[in-house]
Amino acid sequence: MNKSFCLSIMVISVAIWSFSLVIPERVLAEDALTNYNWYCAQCHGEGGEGDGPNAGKDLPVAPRNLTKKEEMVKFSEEMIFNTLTKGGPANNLSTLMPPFGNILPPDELKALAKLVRTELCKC
Amino acid sequence: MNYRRMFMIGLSIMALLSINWTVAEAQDGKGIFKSKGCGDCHAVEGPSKLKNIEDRVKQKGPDLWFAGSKFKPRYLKTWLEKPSDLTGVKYSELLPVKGKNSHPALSGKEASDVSNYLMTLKDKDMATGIIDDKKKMKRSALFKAGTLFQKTQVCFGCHLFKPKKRAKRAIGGFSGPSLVGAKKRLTGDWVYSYLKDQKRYVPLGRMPIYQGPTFQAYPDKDLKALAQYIVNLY
Repeated sequence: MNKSFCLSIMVISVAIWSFSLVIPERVLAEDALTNYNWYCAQCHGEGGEGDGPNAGKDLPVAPRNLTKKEEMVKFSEEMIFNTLTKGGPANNLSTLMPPFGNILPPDELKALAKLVRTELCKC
Repeated sequence: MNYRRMFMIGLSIMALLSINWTVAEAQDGKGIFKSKGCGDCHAVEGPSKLKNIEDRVKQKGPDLWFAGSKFKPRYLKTWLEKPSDLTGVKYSELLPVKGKNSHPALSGKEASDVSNYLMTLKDKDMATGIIDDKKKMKRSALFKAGTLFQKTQVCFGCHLFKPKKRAKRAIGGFSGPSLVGAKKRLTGDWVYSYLKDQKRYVPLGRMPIYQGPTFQAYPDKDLKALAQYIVNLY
C-alpha cells in the first residue's frame, strides 16, 4: 500500500468524521401530515375543519376552516408558508395564529403549506 | 453553661435533625417513586434526547428531571394526593379528557416523601434569583405583559387562565397546560428559563418558540415581565 493511498484514506476518514459533527440534532425530517397532526390539529382539527380542542367560544377569532375552498383560495402557497413561519400578523391575519419558524425548518414548513393547499383545501 | 447557650445548641440540634428528616424522606420518596413504577412514564434524568414526534407521542407523562426547579414545594404534595388534569386533552394526544384523572393518587405520607424527592431534582444550569415571585408588578409592566399574554401572542389560545382573581370561570384553550393557579404551582425563574429556551425542557412541545434562529420576538425584559405575569395568575 503506498503512502499517498494511506494519506487519502486518512483525509476521507477525517472528512466523514467532521461531517458527522455538523449533522443537525433533528436528523429525521417529519413528514407534513405528522407535523400537521402534532402542531396544527390542536386548533384546526385533525380534518382541518377548524374544530381542534382549542377551538372554543372563548377565542376572539375561531381557527380557520382549512377545508373551506372559497375562503382558502385567496391564500397562495407562499402566503401560507409565510404565515406558518412568522405567524398570522405576517399576512395581516389573527395573532392567534402563532409562528413556527423557530420550530420547523423551511423545507418542512413548505411541505406543510403544500399539504394545506393540496390535501385540506384542495385549492 | 447558661440558658442562652443551651437554647442555641438545642436549636442547632433540631435544625440538623430536621435536615436529616427531609433527606430521609427524600430517600423514601425515591424508593416509592421507583417501587410504584413512576419512572415508566416520567424521566428523572435529562435533558431529554427525544428526536422526533413519533418518539414524543409515545411519551406517557412529562419529564420530571427539573421538577424541583419548576414547581413550588407545597403544590406537588397536594397534587400527588389529589391528581387533577392540567390540560383538557390526554397527554401526547388531542382526545378530550373525560371522567376522573387516571394518575394514581398517593397517601399523605407517600405524597410528602415523593414530593420531597422530586424537589431535589433541579436543573443545575438554570439561573435563579432572576424573577421574584412575590414582587408586585408595576402597573405599566403588568399592562404590557397582560397585553402580550392576551393580545399580542394570545397565549390563552392554548392555556386556560383566569383574567381576574375573582373571575367566575377560566377562559382559553385546552391543548397547553392550564395556567389557572400558576401562582401556587410554578416558580418564576423556571417560567423565565422556559420562555428563553423551551426546547431544553420540552424538546418537541407544541408551543411555538418565540426566541430562536429565525426571529427573536421579544427582548429579555419582556420575557421577564411575562414570566412574572404568569406566576401571578390565580
